[in-house]
Amino acid sequence: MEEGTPACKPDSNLVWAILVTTLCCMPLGVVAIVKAASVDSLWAAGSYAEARKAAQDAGKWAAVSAICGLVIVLCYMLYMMTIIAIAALHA
Amino acid sequence: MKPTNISDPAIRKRLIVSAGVLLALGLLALYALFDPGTSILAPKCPFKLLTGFDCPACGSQRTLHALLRGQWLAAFRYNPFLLLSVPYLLLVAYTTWSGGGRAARWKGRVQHPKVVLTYLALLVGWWIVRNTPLWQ
Repeated sequence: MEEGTPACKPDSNLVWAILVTTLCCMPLGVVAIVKAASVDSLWAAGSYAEARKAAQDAGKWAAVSAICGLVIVLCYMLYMMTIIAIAALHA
Repeated sequence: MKPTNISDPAIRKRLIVSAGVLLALGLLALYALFDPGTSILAPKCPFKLLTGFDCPACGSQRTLHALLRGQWLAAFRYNPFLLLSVPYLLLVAYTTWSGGGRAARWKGRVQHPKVVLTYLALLVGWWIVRNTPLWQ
C-alpha cells in the first residue's frame, strides 16, 4: 500500500447513497450510507486505503440498490402492461 | 460561423443539461396531470411490492402530485419525512459538487459522520414507525 498522505480524500459517494435510499426505497441503500459515513473518520485516522475502499463500497452498494430497484420496477411495469394488453385483447 | 460539433465537451454538456431539464419538466407535467396513487402505470415501490410494508420513501410520488396541485396538507400526510430528506440531500449534493470555499467549509458539518448517522437513525425510525399503528 502507498505511504504518506495521498493527494485528496476520495468522494464518499454519500450523495448517491442518500439518493437511492430516499428515492429508490431500497434497504441496500442503508448499507451505502453507513459505508459513506465511515469514509471521513477512516481518512482522519490515516487509514487511507480503507477510506478509499469504504468510498468505493458505498458507491457499489448505491449502484446495486439502484439497479435492483430499477429491475423490480421495470418487471412490475412489464407485468402491468401485459395484463392491460391481455385485457384489451379479450374485451 | 463556427460549426456545431457534438464532440465539443461544452456543447455536449449543454445538450445533456437541456435534455435533463426537458425530462424533468415532462415528468412534472405527468405528475401534475395523473394521480400516481390510482394510476396503475405509476412505478411502484420495490420494497412494498416484495414485502407489503411501506419504505421510508413511499408516498413520494403522491406527495409530488399533491404539491403540484397545491394540496399542502395532503402532501405532508403522504410522506412528511421528505421535508427532512430532500433539503438534506440537496445540502449534501451542494457540499459535494459545488467548488466554492463556502461549500468546502460546510462539507465538514453537513457530511460529518455524526450528522449522517443521525439522519440514518431518523430514517430507520420513520421506516419502523410508519408501519405501526402509531402512524395511520
